[in-house]
Amino acid sequence: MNDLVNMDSKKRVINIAKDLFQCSFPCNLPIGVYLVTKTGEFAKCNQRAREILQLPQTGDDINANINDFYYDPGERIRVIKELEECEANGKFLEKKIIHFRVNGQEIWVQAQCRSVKDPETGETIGYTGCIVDVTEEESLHQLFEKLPVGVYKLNAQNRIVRVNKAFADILGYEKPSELEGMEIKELYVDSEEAKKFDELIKEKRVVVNEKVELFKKNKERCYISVCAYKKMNTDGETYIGREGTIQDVTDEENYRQIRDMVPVGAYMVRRDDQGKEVISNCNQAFADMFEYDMDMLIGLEVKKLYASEKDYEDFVKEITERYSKNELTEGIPIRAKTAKGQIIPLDVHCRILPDGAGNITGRAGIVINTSNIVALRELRDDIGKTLHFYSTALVTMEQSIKPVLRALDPDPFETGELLTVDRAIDALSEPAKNLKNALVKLLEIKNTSPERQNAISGEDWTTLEDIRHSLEDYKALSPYPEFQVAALHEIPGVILDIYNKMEKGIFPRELARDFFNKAKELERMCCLIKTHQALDTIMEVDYSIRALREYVIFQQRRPDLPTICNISTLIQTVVYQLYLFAQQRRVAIKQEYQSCQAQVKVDERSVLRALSNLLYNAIKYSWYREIGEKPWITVRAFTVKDKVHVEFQNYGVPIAKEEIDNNLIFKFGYRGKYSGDRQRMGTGIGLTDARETARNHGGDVKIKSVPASGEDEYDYSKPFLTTATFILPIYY
Amino acid sequence: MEKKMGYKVLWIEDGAFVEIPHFAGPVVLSKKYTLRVAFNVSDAVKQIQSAEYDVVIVDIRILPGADPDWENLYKKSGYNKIDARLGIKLLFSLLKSDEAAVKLSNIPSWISPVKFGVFTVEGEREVKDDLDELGVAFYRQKKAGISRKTLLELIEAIIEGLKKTYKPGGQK
Repeated sequence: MNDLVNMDSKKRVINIAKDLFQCSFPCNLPIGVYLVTKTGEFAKCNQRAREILQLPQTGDDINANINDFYYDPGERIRVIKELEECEANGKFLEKKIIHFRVNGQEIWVQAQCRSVKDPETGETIGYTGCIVDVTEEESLHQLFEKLPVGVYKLNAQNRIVRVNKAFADILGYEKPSELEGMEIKELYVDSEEAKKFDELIKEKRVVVNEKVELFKKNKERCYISVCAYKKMNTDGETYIGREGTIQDVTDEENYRQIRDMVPVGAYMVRRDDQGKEVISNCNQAFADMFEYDMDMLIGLEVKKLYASEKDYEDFVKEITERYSKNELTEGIPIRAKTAKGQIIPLDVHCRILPDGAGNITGRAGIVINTSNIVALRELRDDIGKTLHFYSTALVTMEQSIKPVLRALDPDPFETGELLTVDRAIDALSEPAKNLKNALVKLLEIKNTSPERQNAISGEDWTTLEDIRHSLEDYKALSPYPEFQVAALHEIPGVILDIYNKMEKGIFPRELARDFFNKAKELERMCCLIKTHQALDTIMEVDYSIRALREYVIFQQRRPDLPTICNISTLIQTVVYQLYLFAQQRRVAIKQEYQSCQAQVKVDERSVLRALSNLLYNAIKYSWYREIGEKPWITVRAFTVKDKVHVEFQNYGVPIAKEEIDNNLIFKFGYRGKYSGDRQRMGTGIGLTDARETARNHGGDVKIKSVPASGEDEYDYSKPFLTTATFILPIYY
Repeated sequence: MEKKMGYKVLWIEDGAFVEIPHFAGPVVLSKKYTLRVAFNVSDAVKQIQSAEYDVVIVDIRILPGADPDWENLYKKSGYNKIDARLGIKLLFSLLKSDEAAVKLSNIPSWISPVKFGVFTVEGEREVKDDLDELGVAFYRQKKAGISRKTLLELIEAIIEGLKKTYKPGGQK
C-alpha cells in the first residue's frame, strides 16, 4: 500500500517537475541533479548525483530516500525550514553545505535547492536541486575551524584577513571577526619585534617555531610560538601576505625563563637501561657551575660530577635513606667536581622521581654553589682568631702600661678617667713654669765666666733662650691647646740633650741639679699624659675589638635557645658591664628602668650585646652639659601595648637628619658624619647589629636625634639629644 | 695670645688634635711657622679663600664638612672617606679646576702646586698619578715608625722649593 502511495507521489512530482525543467531531466551535467518527493523518496537522479550518493547507476526506479543520507537525522527538517524562509523571500536555498553519510563514509555536499509545488493547490509535493561533492574542501575547512592551534592569514599590508576560532581563543577574543582587519603589529608587545619577524619571513620564506611576545585582548602578555610562510604573487616577486599557525607557549616560556634565569643549577637525573644515573636535563646555570657545555652534560653519568666515587655513593645513600623514611631530600651538602677538576661545595635540594610501583627512577632538583658561604665562614673564623689575638695584645699592652704609670708616680690623674687636653694643660703649667725659672737662673749666670759661656755652643744657648720664651708663654705658640701640649712635650728632650753636652762642675751644683730635675719633671708629666692617653686609646680600641669579635662569633654560632628574662635585669647587666667605661668618660648613668618588670623571651647573649652597643654609644657620644657638671645619660624602660621599649638618651654628638631618614646609620660599617667628633673610635657595626638582633626577635631599633636647644634649626655644631630605642615584644 | 710667626701653614687634617698632634709639636716649637688647621674640606676652602698661606698640607681621607657640593661627593662614595678621597678632589678644585668635581667660585691668585704637600696614609703608588697630574711634588706617608719631625720636614722641603721658585719679596 505504501509502495503504491510512493509510486503515485513520485509520478506526480515527476510530471510537475517536467514543467520546471522545461525539457528532459538533465542527465549529463557534471553536477548532481535530483528530484525527491516531499518525504524524500528519490524520483529522479542524474548520473553525477548517483555517483555522489552511490546509488544504482541505471534504472528509473530509485529505491532510496534522501533522509537516509543525512548524517544528522534532524538536519533535513532544518534545511526544509530554511528553504521555506528563502522562498518566502523569493529566493532559493543556495550554497548550503550538508553533511551526509554514504555507505558509512562521511561526505559534504554543497546544495542548491527549491521546492516543487502543485500548480493547482500550491502544496509542496517535492524538492529538486543540485549537489556538488565538497568533501575535500569541507574537511580542510573543518580542520581550520576545529584545530587546537591558531591559524591566520595576513595580507600584503600585514593586516589580519582571516583567523580561526583557536587563534581568537588564544588571544582572549570572543570571535575571529574581532581580529580581522587589525594590523598584526598591534598585537606585539614590542613593535620592533613585529618588524624583525616581518623581515625574517621575507628573507627566509618559512619560519618555524619562532617565539614572540604578544598582548592578549585584556593586555595580558603571552608567549606565542609562530610557524608561518610567505605568500608571493604568481610573478614570484610580489609579497602578498603570509599564513601560518600560532601556539600558546606562555607556560613553557615562563618555566624556561625561570629555569634559565634563576641563579641556581637545575637538573634532572634518570636511570638508563643499564641502571646508570645520567643527566637527562639541566639549565645553563648548572652547566656553568660544572664548567661543561650543555650538550656534553646531557647523557653524562652523574657520578662524574662528584668529587669522588665515595662522595657520590654517600649522597645516593643519604637520599635513599631519607626517601625511605619519607624525609625531605633537601639541603644536602656535597663535594662536586667541575670539568676542569675544581672541587666545589654544593647544597643539593632534590625530589625523588618514583615509578608507579614506588621504585626510584631518578630525581630532579637544584644545586647551590656554597663556595662563597664557606669562604665567608672561613673568613669570619680567621677574623675571629685575629680579633682574639688583637684583644689579647691589648690586654698585654694595658697590663704593661700600668707599671709604667706606677713608675711615673706621683700621678695627678685618676686612673680610668678620660684625660682631656684642658686637664693636660693644667697639669703641665706648673712643671713648665718651674723649668722656665730654672732656665732663667742658668741663663743669668751664663756670662759670669768664659768657661760658663763656652760650656755649650752659642747655638745651644740660643736654643735655650728660645725655649725660655716658649715656656714663659707657651699659650702663644699656638691657638690650639693640643698643639701647646705637643710643643711642651718636645722641650724636655731638647733641654736634656743640651744638658748632657755641658761640661760638669762649671755651673753651681745646686743650680745644675735644679735645671736637670725640672726638665725631668716636665718630661715625667709629658710621659704621664702620653701614657694616660695611650691607656685611654687602648681601652677604647679594646671595647671596639671585643664588640667586633662578639659580633663575628655571633655570626658563626647558632643562636642560643630563647630564655625568659626580665628586661630590667638585662639592662642592669649591661650597665654593670659598661660601668668602668662610663667612669672613664666621667658619664653618669641615670637609671629609670627598675620599675619596668616586663619579661621578654630572647637569645639573652644577643640581646645583651645589642643593649650594650646602644649604651656604649650613648656614653661615648656624650658631652658636658654645663661647666663643672658631669655629663649624664638616661636609660629608661617602659611598655607600649605589647612591646617593651628601652631608651638610651644622651646629650652631645649629633646624628645628621639624612643619616636617620635614609637608614644610613644602620648600614654595616657605616660611621656617622659626626661620630668621629674628637676622634671617637668605632666599627660602624653596633647599630646594625642592634637592629638585626631586635628584628630577629620581632622588635626594632628606632633612632631620634634633635637639637638639644629644642629649636628646629639643625645646627650640627651644637649639642643634640639623641635617643636610641630598643623595642622587643613582651612575653606573657 | 699667639704671636704671628714666619710662614703661614695650613694643615688640612681631621685627626690633627687627637690622633697625630705630636707631628705639630716640632712645627710649633720651631716658631718659624704659624700653623692653622682645617678639619674638613668645607673648612679648608673657607680658610684658603679668606687668607693667604705659604704652605698647604693636605690629607687625602678627609670629611666634607657643611658645604652641600662636597657633601654630595661624599654621599656618592657611600659616605666612605677612604673611597671619597676628598683631599685629592680638593686639590683638583684648587689646582686643575677644569677637571674638578667641584668648581670653586673663587680660587685665590696665590694658589700654586709648589705650595702644596700631601701627608696621608695612602701609599705613594695610590696617589702618584694624581699628584703628577696636579704638579704636586711633595708627599709623605703617615705610617708607624716615622719621625715626629716628618710634618716639619715636609713643610721645610716645600719652603726650600719655594725659595728656589720665588724671588725675594714674594714675587715670582
